[in-house]
Amino acid sequence: MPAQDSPATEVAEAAELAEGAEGSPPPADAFDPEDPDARSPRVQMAAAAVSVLLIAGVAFHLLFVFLHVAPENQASLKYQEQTREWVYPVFEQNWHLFAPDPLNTNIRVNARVQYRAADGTVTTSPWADLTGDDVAHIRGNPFPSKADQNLLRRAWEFYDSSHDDDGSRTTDRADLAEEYLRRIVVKRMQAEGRADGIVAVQLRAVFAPIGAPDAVPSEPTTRELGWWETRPDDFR
Amino acid sequence: MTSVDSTPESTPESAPDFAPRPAPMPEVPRQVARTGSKPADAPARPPLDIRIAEAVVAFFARLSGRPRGTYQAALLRIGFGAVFLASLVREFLNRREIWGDESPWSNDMARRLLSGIDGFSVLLVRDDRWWFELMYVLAIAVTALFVLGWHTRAMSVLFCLMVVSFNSRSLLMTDGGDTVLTLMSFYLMFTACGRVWSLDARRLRRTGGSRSPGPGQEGGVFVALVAAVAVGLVLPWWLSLLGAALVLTGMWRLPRELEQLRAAVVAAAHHCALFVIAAQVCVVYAAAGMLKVQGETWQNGTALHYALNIEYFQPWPWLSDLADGGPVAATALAYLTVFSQVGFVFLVFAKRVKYVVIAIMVAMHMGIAVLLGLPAFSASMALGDLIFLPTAFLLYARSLGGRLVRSRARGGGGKPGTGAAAAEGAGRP
Repeated sequence: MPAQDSPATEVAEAAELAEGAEGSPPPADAFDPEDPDARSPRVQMAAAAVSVLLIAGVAFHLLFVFLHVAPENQASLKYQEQTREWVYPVFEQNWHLFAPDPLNTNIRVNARVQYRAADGTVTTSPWADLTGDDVAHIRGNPFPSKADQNLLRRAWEFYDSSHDDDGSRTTDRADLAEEYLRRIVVKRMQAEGRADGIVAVQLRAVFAPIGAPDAVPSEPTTRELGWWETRPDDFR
Repeated sequence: MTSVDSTPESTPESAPDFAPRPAPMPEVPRQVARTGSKPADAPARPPLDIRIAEAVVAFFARLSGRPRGTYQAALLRIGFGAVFLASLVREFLNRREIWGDESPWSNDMARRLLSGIDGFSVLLVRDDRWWFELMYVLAIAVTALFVLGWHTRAMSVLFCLMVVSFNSRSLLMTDGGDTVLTLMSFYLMFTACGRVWSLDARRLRRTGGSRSPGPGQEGGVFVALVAAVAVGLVLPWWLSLLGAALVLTGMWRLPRELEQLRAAVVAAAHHCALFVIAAQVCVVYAAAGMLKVQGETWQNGTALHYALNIEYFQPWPWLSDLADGGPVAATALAYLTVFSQVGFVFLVFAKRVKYVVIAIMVAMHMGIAVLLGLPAFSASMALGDLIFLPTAFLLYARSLGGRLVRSRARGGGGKPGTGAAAAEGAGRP
């Protein structure tokens, strides 16, 4: 524990001990199980054995965390499966926020829906700026909600990471990502009381480049996804 | 150490590095004095192998002796508990949209994602609304008790269970702050984080009881049993059974040697966990720093400009504009960020320089908290930095905080600060 080795620590710990002693004089027959000098060799050996196991565990854990976090390399590739087994679900981590570079584009997710009326006519709503709603909630808020800051942002990232630019699926979680986005649109419409009769939703992403400092950012580009039919489950 | 030179078993100059640190200090004057009077039988320093063996014994005695760094552990307990508590309270009105029945990420979708990574969540045990609400209330209660340090070890298990459960239920709602919180809540289970600044410590002081198992610990055993059973909701039942069996041994006084061994294991686990926490913080910074080194915008100094102009992290656009001021300042800040992240692991163990790098990191995270609207993430990261502060500093900050609270209370209503208020000040030095 290098962090605790300074002489100041020792002073403070002496103070702590003094504080403890001051509060309650220990009973006469009490012994201090934490005193390493009072331990018999047998206990010391057992304690050392357990310590060795713990140290091995620490080394093992840190090794896998390293393999998981480090850039892909021949060692991490070799032990990919074992690393996955160890790291999920609790130790999974990635530190890519603003690294290697911050996003240079603001992505605005828009959505529109198709309604089918009782007589069978289908109408299409105008585009709604879902990200715009999030941003409006974040503005002026010292502690923005996850529902505004992470929900749609990470749902789009999830979709983007599981699909090609032409919308074809690239991972086996792609269907989850589509279902998630579809349900987000339906839930937003439900919140506004405009969900009745929705039969299909469509999303598009508007990419607005931030632009270099003091430069005029280039025009936003748009990527439209296809129409997705809604399912009864989406409305629950 | 001139006396050593006269003996035949003199060792290479590098040898003293292996010696246990406390030992040589008192011996030096004694040796010099003896060689002065009777040079003939100057006591030879023990040979190298003996000294290495002694150092190893001393190392294990230290590792499994008294828990050190208990204030740092308590700071993390209070800090991370407070961050999770603040999130739960802040999101109370949005709780159903984020973790509950109104979430677009349905329970079934969560199960599908978690089944691929062996994830679990108590929120997914049942689909009923009442179960969700009950778990939410319990999470708040558990976290509050964890912050206060009430039967801390049992609470730390429940706290970890809740943190992992909420984050796993809505994995796609999490950010870096939640990741840090999850990791730390797990590591904290193995620390003795309730030794100080806790209700447990207060109870021990007041009743004069002991921490050892035996009669008088029935309350603690009961709470721990509840925690052990709760674990069985999401983890294999035999783990629960094992935990319950272990907890039940607390009903009886253990034989002396077994009790010593128990204390040794507790201390060794505590020290190992603190080491892992410190290493984890270094891993975070090293990873983030090394990634940034490769980033073009961090090299050309425009990274902050982009970071400050992401709409999702822009609660105060005018403030972001203000901070995005000028090529020189932006480049300097970008390089400072990268250098301090990459250098963190090397600087934070230095005796004096560590204050500089910790100050830079804490300032950086305070900036992120306000400018980018990420207070929970920033608080978690800053707490990770603070464990590198020495105990004396924490105690000083605590007394300073306590004095501030007291003087303000006196100025406001003429009432001296209560113990609770002082303890609260201790959480945020």
